[in-house]
Amino acid sequence: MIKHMKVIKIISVKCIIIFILIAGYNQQSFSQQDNMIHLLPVIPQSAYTNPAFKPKAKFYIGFPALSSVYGGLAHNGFAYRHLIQRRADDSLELRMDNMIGKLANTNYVSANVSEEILAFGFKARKSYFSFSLSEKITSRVGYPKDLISLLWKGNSQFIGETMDLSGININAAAYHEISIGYMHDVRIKNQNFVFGGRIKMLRGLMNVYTQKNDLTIGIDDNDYAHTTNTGFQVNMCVPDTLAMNIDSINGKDTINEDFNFNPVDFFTNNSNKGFGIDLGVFYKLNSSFSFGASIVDLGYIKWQTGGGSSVRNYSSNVQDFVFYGIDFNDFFGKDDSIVKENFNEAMDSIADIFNVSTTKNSYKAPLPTKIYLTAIYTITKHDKVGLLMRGDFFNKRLYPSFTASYNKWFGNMLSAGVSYSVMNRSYMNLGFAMAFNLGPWQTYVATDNIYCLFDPEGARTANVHFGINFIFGYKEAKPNYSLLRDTPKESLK
Amino acid sequence: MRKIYSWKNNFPVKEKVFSLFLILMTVLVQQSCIKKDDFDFKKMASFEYSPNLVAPIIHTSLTMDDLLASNQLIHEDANNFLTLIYRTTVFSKKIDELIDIPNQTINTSINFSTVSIPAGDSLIMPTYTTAYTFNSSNGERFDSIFIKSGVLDFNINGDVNHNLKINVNIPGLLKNGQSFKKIINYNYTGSLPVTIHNNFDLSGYKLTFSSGNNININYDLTVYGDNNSDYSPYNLNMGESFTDIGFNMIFGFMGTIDLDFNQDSVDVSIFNNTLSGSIYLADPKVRLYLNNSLGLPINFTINTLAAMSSSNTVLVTPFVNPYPWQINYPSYSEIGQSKETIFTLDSTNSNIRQAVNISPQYFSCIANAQANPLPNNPLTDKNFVIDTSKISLDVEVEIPFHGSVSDYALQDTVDFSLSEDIEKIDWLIFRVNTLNGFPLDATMQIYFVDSLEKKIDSLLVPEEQVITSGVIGPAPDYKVVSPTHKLTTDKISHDRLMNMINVKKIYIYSKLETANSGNTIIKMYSDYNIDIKIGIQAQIKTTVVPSNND
Repeated sequence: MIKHMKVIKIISVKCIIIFILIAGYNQQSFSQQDNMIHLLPVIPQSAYTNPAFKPKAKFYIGFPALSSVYGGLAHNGFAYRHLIQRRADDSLELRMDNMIGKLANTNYVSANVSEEILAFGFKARKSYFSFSLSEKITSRVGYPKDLISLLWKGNSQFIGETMDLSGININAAAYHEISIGYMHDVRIKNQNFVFGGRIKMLRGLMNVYTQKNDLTIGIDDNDYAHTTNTGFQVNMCVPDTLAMNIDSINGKDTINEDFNFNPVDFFTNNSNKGFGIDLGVFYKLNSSFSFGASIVDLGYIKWQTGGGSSVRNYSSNVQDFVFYGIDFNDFFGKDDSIVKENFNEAMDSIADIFNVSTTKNSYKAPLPTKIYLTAIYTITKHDKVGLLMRGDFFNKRLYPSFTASYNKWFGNMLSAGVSYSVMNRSYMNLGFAMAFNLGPWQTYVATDNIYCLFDPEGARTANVHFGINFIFGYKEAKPNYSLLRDTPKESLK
Repeated sequence: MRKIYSWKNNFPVKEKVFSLFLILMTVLVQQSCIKKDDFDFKKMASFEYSPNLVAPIIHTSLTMDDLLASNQLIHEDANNFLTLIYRTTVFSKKIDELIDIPNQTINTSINFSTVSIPAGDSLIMPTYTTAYTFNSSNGERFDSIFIKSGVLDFNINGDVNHNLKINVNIPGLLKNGQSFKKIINYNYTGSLPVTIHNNFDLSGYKLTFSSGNNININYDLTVYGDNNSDYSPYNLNMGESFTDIGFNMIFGFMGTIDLDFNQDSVDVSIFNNTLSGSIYLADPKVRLYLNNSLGLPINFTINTLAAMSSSNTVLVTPFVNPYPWQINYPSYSEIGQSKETIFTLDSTNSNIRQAVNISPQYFSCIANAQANPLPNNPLTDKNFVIDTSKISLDVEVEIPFHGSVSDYALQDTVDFSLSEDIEKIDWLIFRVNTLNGFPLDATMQIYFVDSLEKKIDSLLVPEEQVITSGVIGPAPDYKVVSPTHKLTTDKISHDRLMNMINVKKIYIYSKLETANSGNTIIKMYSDYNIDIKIGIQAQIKTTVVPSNND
């Protein structure tokens, strides 16, 4: 048993080191960051990160529209102070070179909002059922370092090289989510497991999805010829009038000055259907160690025209277009009118090559899938230490973040936790969470980076998650002190 | 005794520490303040924006057609070898400018006597014949004239007091095999003299002459009787005239005609922008094309053929023997055809090579010719001309691109100006890549001048050879076997750029020479090509002042 424990400890330490290295290399996450909630099972919403995390309450119901309110901003590129600094004379200095030095090859700014309209759950013997209705808005804008460097320093730095602008992308989605969760205790070979899953029915409201972007620009070191590859496709599903106005900008249609947005049509749009699934497992090795693993938001939404929304697909696919310059004979020694005409023809020819084609085909946009790997060490019944390794999937890559936390329960009334996270390429993220229970009334608040309040100029992550639930059957039974005299110490943990 | 957790007991140490942490966090949260001034963008200081930019500016691929700008002048043989040919018609005359049939006035006077003829009777007089000799303007001997147009007029004036019928017959004037026979009615109405005007269209007639341009006109008079007295002898003046005779063909002898070819010139535009330099062309030629559809012998003589540039003139001296040249002419079986005679002046029979080597802007030509040159026999020599006959002289200058060039300077002027935004540029670098498939080296300079054409600056300091000749193969083809790449860079500082604000024009000066400083013989082929790419690198430097600053 002791040897078994040592092996587990060694493996865990190695995993932690490897993940820290990975996390330190490429830190970013773009969807809802909720690492603190994950490690507070007293809050029913912690099961949204692992459907096998069984809430302590036997029954809960969320306060309508206030059971789970989340807002978060993240930027893995640079912090404010990397760009702007106050001088001794009280003026603000723009430090572009410094900011560019802080950028990763690919950077993202994300903003996410989530509001739970209705939620409840209940325990049934060894199973647990839950229901949730939420409104979600996710957004992310990606930009490559090469783009910023190009705009600030010019393109001569790329002589003989290729600018990789494939990191430019925009992804955003607003949708309804209805989910039903189920988890069940299972005993396998005398080991305790909890398996859980959540099925999500989704209804999309609006979407922008960069399906592909292979934009590169190379500069020849001999004659400065520019070689361009533009393979991109951006899909949108937006209200009809907005789509028409975009068409008019692109010259496809006349501008529609009567931009009538009907919010009822917008919010009741039932055309864009989607499906998602969460899967999780929780394993209690013994009274000290337990582990969890989950995959969340595995699914998609199919976006199509209808219900007051229109789909547009914008794409271009130019391979190896080389611009060597204008033809001398078309301009030199000619009258101004001919020069102008030839110049316009040259520009029109280039524009035709890069012509963006527009179609109206339906498409599928994936949900922002995440994985959670959790290790919990129970110090005492009221003290736990947790390690969370979270990975966000995007564009066929995994973006990890890492959180270590300490959680304490002050009886049934109060539980709190603090954490340290490495996320969004920042090593200064101090999280805090607290849940206060007064009878069935539960109020909670959590943030992955409270430090941003003290040092907003240096922060790259800011989020808050709060809510009110009514929870029942979560209190521990009072011990019969008369039986404790001969009870082994370990059994009291 | 084990500790039992209870609110009533004192917290264990770790709980105390944690609680203090929570309290501290709460206080810090309450006391935390965002330094608003750090986000007051009105305090943003101005900053320098200095990107360094590169771009390809010009890419041109030039062939021989592009360089010479006129495909019609370039001739290409089966091996793609190029020759530049300039050809101009310097003289052309039609037959109606050379030969003219003058109007002919005959005025036959017929005197006759009659007897009293009772009314109702008539008297036929003996045939009266007039022999007339046609006049010519140049001693022509007419054997026959095919008349295209013209009129035979009769302005008759008579003192005969009787009606007459005049039968006119011209045996030598035939149409469709029938001789000219016309009746003119002379009607006496009681007063004298009687004047009658008749004219007859001669179109389509053939006038055949007996020797000495002679024709006969026969008159047969019939006098009609009446009660008028007889006043014999009578006189009848026929007043004949051949007027405005145009011809389809003339056979005979046209006389000796001197043809003066007025001075004209052939432009050789390839040398228009030449400033200086020497050209050695291996085999230039001047050809004279004489096209003759007159059926008579012509001798041709060049009085003056000169190559002329802005600073030099060379007379081309033909050495051809025999001289003057005899021009081909069509035979009787070739009526309607034009015969071409070509005289070629090349380096074997003239000094044409020396003439072309001065880079002449044009060739000037004065020539003359003589039709039916002496000695001739006007009585027996046979010529013919038709209404479309003409003689013309074309002069052709042939410049084969075979030879060598040294210090051959060209200059062109182009309007040019810089934008005032040039002050934001700290420096510029021009990068010129040439891949030259021509067998020519080129040194280039660009001068920037102001509105008064005063030089402000030059692009390349010092002047540079920006184009290097391709690798030339051996004789006899002398063809470029591989192109040569050359890279030239030049930096222009901010001070120099600012100095160019007043530039209005640029002078493009280039000096060409064949490989090895003009000592290598080359040939030009149509598939030669030069590829020029010009890129530019610019350091921008500008100060940005945020607009919200006070």
